[in-house]
Amino acid sequence: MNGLRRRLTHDILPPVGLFLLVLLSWQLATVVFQPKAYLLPSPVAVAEAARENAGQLISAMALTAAAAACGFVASLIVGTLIAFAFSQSRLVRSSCYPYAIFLQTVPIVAIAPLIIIWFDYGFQSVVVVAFIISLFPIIANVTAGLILVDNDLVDLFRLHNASRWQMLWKLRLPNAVPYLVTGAKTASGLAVIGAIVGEFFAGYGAERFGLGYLVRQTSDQLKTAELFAAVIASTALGIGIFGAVNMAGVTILARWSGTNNE
Amino acid sequence: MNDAVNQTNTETANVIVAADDVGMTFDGAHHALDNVSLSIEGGEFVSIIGPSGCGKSTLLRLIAGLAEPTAGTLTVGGLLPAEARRAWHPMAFVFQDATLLPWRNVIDNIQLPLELERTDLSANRSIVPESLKLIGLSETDAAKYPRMLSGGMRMRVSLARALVTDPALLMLDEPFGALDEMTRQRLNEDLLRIWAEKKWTALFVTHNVAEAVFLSQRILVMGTAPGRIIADVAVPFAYPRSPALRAEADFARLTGEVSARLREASL
Repeated sequence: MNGLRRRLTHDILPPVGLFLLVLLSWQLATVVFQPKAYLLPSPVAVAEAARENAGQLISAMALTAAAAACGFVASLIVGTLIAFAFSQSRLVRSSCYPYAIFLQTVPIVAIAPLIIIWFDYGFQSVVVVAFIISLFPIIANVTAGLILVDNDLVDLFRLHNASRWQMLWKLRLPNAVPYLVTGAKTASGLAVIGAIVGEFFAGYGAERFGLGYLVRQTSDQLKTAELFAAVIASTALGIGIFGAVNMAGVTILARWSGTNNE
Repeated sequence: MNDAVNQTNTETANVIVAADDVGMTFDGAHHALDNVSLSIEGGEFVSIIGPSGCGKSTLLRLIAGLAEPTAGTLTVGGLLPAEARRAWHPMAFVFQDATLLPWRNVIDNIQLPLELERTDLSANRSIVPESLKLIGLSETDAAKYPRMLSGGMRMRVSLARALVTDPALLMLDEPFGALDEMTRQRLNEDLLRIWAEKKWTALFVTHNVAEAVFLSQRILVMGTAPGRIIADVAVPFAYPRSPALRAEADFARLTGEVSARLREASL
């Protein structure tokens, strides 16, 4: 009980307090300085806009979440397979790794139009953008996990005449698990960003739209209160997906090093 | 093992490790080992002591067949070390760190060498519990994961893992260096008790003189640049050795003597 109270006063109250303070000053500032609504809407106006468009916001969030999740899962699978190939041969690694870094350094905004040319407007293009932007952290982390094995452990396996398969299955793969979790956390946040950027350019057609489209549309129309609501929804989605992946990671790591079996 | 006799000119019939003018050069320049010759009999407890960088760990790795010497000949049971390791699965190694797999519990860590050597576990059901008991671990410890154990306990698990294959040759590379003195002494005593029971050959690398004197029948003192053996000191104390030995005058005298040799080596 004491621990819970400590947590409350130390970890939860301060950020919540700051948040309320900022909201309050923001509201006060809009009352005192009376800025034009399209420049800076008041928090109350944003809340109202969110309430009025709640249905639209929620369906947009669901669609963006679906696209981000598909892109994320795809990069988990493909990234792990690529990392696996990288770990098997130094030649493959040294010839391909520089191009894998491309994935991280290329501005996604610059290649999004290209992706639309290849994959056409719609859900699939959004998924591809989310996939490309979240792929690199998986490749980089899992490759590291497969390669960076304690030398003494490698010696131990050699000493007991371990086969290549045993070395991989009993040493390298389990060693890569915490690295995969780290990579997945980074990738999940990026996948949400990727999905929103993808929607910015690709959209889904007339009747369905995601948060990215909503952001673009409301900013084009200078509906700043609605824009704020869409941005806050995007942030909430990012936090939600990151939180889910983080919790899954904690569970996996606890099982991995036996904290659950205590 | 008889081949080893033919290849070395020792008069004893039970040589397990034979090195003749062994040298090891890294990158063609750095002489890690030079002209190392030694002969170790089956069942012997030999310590290798020397300042850091004298190549004592390298020597151990060569004997284990984890690296190949760049000069001279080295045989284990008459075979090249890497061949010996495949032919009669006799070797075990204890590293400086416990090097346990964090994702396996104690019992599965101990079982690892048997899995790797594809030993039929169903026929040897008692091996794992026995080695657990031998090293003083309880049934409740068996289900724990390495992160829940103290440094001393981890090292015990590491020892149990090395013993589970019933090795003929056990190599230990500064295994207790990171432990506190009490834990180290207790593990030394346990190690001797198990050695008396199982009669493997022990090659024990350390930089702790008292530990080397307490444990071994023979101490090889190594010098640096290049790494070579500069003294072969016999330890006359009878087994079983009790903890009280550490307080005896003869023990202190020999420890001082070996320390003096070691100081010469470090100059």
